[in-house]
Amino acid sequence: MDIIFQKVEHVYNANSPFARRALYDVDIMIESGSYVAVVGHTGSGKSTLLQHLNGLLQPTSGTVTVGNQTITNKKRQRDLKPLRKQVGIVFQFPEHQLFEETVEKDICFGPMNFGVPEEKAKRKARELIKLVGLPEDVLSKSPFDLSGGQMRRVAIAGVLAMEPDVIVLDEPTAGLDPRGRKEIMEMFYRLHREKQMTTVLVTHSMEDAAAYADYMIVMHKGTVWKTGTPQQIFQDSDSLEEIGLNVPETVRLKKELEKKLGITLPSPCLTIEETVDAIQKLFSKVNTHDE
Amino acid sequence: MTETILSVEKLCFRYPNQSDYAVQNVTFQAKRGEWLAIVGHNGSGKSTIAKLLIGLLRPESGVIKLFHHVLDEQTVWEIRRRVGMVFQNPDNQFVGTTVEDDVAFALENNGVPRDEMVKRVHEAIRQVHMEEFLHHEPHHLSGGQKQRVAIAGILALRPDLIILDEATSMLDPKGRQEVLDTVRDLNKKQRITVLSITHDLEEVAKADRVIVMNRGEIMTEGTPKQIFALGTKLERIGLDLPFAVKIRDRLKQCGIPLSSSYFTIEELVEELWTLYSKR
Amino acid sequence: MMNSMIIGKYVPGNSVIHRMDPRAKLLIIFMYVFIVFLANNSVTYAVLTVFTFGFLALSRIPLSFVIRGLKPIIWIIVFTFLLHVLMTKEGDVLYQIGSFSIYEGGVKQGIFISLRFLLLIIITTLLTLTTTPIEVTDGVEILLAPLKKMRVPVHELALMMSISLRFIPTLMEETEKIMKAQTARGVDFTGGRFSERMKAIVSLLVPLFISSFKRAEELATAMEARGYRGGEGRTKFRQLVWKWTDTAFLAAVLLLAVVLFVLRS
Repeated sequence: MDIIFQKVEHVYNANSPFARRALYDVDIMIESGSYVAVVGHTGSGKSTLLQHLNGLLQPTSGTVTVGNQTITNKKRQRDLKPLRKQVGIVFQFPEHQLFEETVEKDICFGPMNFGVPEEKAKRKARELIKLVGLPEDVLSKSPFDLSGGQMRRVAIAGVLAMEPDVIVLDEPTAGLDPRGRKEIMEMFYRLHREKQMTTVLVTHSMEDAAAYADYMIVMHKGTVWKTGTPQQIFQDSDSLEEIGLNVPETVRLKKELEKKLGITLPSPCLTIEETVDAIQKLFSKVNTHDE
Repeated sequence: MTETILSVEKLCFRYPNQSDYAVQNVTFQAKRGEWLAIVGHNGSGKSTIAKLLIGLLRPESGVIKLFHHVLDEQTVWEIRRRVGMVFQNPDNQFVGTTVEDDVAFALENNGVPRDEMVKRVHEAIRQVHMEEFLHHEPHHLSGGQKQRVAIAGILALRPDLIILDEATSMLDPKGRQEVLDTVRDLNKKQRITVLSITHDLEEVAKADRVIVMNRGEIMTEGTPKQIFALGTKLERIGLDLPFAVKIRDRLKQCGIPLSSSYFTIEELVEELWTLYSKR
Repeated sequence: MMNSMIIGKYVPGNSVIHRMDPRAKLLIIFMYVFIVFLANNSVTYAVLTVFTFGFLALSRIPLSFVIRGLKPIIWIIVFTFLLHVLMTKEGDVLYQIGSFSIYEGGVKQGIFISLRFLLLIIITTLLTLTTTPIEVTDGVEILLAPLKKMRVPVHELALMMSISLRFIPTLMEETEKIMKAQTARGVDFTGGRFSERMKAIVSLLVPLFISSFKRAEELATAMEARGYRGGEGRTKFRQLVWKWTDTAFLAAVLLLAVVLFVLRS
């Protein structure tokens, strides 16, 4: 299910003195089965963009196409419900959306809203609670008796239970400790690889973008500043810094090393493994020269 | 010799109806002008320590001494006047309807006369560079700006110690930088002691001394260099390592002879260069 | 969207009325409530109307804002008018359909009563349009200070009011966020069967309550950490300044009362 934005513009409070244009001239394509990272500053239009993916917001002008559905400003909100099943959104601090008496009921809430029978939803809940790394006996507990990190996992399970084709993640690890952060990111990456789930990650972390995404959309002041593979985006670190964004530390190390040693490292060096590999090769080459 | 302004001895605490200790046998000191970081995974007891230090929770046993006063019911208000705390959620500590009202809140509580109050409010707001926002309402501020207002609210009381209780964990990178720069500045120029409770690596790296907490107990204590040299030991208790340390440790495993005494990218590049040019 | 609704109430400005001490404004409104009842003939009503619109003009608030504020209650005014027209049987008959007759006295009475209502609302609307909620709170706190002797917790009430005011936009934002998150999980807040609607409301209210409690708890902790221990021995940063114009306005209103008293029949 490809997602295509054509000339999308969004104005909040249109036709009022409070009108504010949050998004304009957005033309992007998110290919089915890809892992796309959307980066940019707070206020760059990232979160407005993300809410167009499942029709929570409708473009003021332009069109958003998700699979075979087209969203324009004329579409009625009610007709957008099927889209919400296909595109699941994990909002920032998703634990704030929990409300049921038990974890199981809360996970079943989403699928049952879309007409999934209770039995099937419960089966799904049992399956997902393990996937998000919680023991099965949590299902009968109240979500409010869990720790913050566990609540986050329950909320994520609640979104995954709708079996969306596309999953949108808005800073899914904000406020977690390093281990929790890593576990959650790895889980989504596994889902993406094993089930070919189209994944859109909205993040401030260039490290996560570099490590997981195969395509990046850089937002700046309400419009798309640049798109491309992480390698393409991070190549030009100077202009990224101009709009106040950093490059991942892997890229920084590569640059510094190349400058100091007066060489060019061949591989992209986006993940820690790639970087270690490249540096190691560099030294083994030196070794063979010596011998 | 620098004066010890905070000393904690054999502190133990349990939350009601819990059999496990949230804080157990914790002993440490802080000296004037020092930047001390306490790190640990979520639930390691680090935030509980912060609450104990300003008397928001009462220890089961152990002694807390601030400025040579033992923390008890008589001294708690005086101590709260000299110790400022910045909490995690920027929204839930903003009491006033505007920036200046919020900065004045603690002064009002301490009965500072109004003329003096106006002077101090403006001075504190200047120190955190929020002059332009004097009359702004909180919902028109970014998270980083709100935290800076919280810091100004503390500065107005002319504190000796600032405690940051995961004060940057809900902020975006820009906000985090703003807040850290502000605190760093105060620490350097005014010698205000900083106790930062965090798992942000940058905050840890900037500290003079680091205390590592694990399950309510102090696991180890040392300079950032010494702490980061622990390597995978830290990762095992749910903490992260700086990027340069991760790369360094992996390269060492591959047989590249690197030392273990640094944690910045610049130092790593420097050492790799030395090795490279020797060959 | 929801933000603009609430905040739209106060219209920033720098007119004489805007700069008036909120205490003076509150006192004037309090007096005005009694003064309107002094008017009972065409002359007194005319004086009252001129006076009220004079105030309005001084505030430099566009008439359209005031009219917009009147919209919700316009039907009550129309209803009051009709009630008096149909019920009062005094003076000459002006019009007759079948057994219904409309009397001159009825029309007069209807106009007077509706006008009284209208003027009262204009004056109170003027207060909310020219005074920030926090100023109103400050004014109320000081005016009610004498009640402290009767153990009325005036300081606590005022603090509660000001904290509520500070958190209204935050809670609005929160509501919007939770609504969006639940909509993304398939909730329809716009329609559906009764049971579905109830479920939708529960899915919004429970998270909202929980987060509000959490906020309240954290806020209480932060306040305590910042040395808050009740109103005792507390000084105040916000200060109200009583100016000569405030005295003048108050005097003008008193004068109005005297004039109306003399001119009423």
